[in-house]
Amino acid sequence: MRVRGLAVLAGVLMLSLTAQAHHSFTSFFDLTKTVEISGVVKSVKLVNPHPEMIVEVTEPNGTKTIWTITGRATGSGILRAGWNADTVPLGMNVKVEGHPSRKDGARNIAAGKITKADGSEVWFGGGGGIAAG
Amino acid sequence: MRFARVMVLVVVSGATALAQIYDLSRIPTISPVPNDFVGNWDWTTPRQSCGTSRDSYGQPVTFDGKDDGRVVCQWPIDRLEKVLNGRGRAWRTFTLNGADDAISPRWTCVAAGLGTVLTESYPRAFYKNADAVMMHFDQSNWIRMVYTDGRKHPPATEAFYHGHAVGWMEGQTFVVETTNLTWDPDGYDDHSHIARSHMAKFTERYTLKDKETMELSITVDDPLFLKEPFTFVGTLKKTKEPLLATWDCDPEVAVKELYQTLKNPYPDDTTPAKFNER
Repeated sequence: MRVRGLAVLAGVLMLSLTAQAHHSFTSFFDLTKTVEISGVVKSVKLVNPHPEMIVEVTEPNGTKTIWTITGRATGSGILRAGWNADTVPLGMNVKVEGHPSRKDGARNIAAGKITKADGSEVWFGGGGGIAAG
Repeated sequence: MRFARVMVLVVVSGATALAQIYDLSRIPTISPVPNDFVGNWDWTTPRQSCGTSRDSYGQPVTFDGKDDGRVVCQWPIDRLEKVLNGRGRAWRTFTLNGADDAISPRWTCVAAGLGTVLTESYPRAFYKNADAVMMHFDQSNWIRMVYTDGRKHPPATEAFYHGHAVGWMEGQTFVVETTNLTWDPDGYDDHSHIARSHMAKFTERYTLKDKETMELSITVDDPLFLKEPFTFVGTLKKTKEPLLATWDCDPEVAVKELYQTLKNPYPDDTTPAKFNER
């Protein structure tokens, strides 16, 4: 458990990919559309203004692509709701449901619901507490 | 005897000089703010956006919060719209039609405006010393000084994005008055684009109900944009949860992202190029 926590922390420290200003959802994401991806969790950052998850997706042609998942919750809010380093561990296969970026070709989703490998669901924001409603 | 007189003279002269240098009479001996005020506080109920706005693409966005006690509006936009004066309504119409996100200082990671940091669903920590209360907001990881030593606001010729705040006790209520604000295109929150003028005055009233609960009333008096002062009241509860105290925002990345994504109605806006030159 401790090793897993350290791995998440390492992921957090290594990945500082995006640094968008706060509350950009209506500008950056098309909230009228919903998309879904499946892949392997590479990092989780539980930070303000919004948490962030990096997911590696294996495309139909076999290539691997990196998707950035921006939580619609705040970092403070998602921690208050009970998220911790073990909620969605590194290496887990997940399904992410959320709104696509407005930028052409961007691999960025505002989430949304995360379905874990065991079928259980958690919210990364936009849906209330830690458990999917 | 003569030596003693000289020593007394030296001590008195020294003390007088020190008092003049440090103006000891100005230093209060005790803060007027109750000790129970100190600590970490959070809203009792989640706060979220309420009302209708438009995104940068002109599409209406309805924020689905309901001020029903379970979810409280960050700012009740529908109620706020009713007190906008003609100028306020004109600006509201302009932003609803344009929703020009780029004019907000937050895109260069400036700490969010006062209306946002005060009301959004982030915890905050309050500290005090002899002459000031320090408020640390997890929203924007921003620290604010509220002076309680009796000083006045600076002259109106000086203005600051977050204003100048002084505080005092009125009975059991800690009153914070903020003036000397600059114009803010995101005057109340960071998405509905309701502007607030440099003439505005924020009055916060913090009243301890018990050691764990505090009522916060915020009144905005803005004669340039509002027909009458606007007030809303919320409840904070003490929390043992520490602040995250981080705000992951890089101005260069944020501006770049904004202009790559935003529908920019002004093709001669050279901001991204200018920003990269800095």
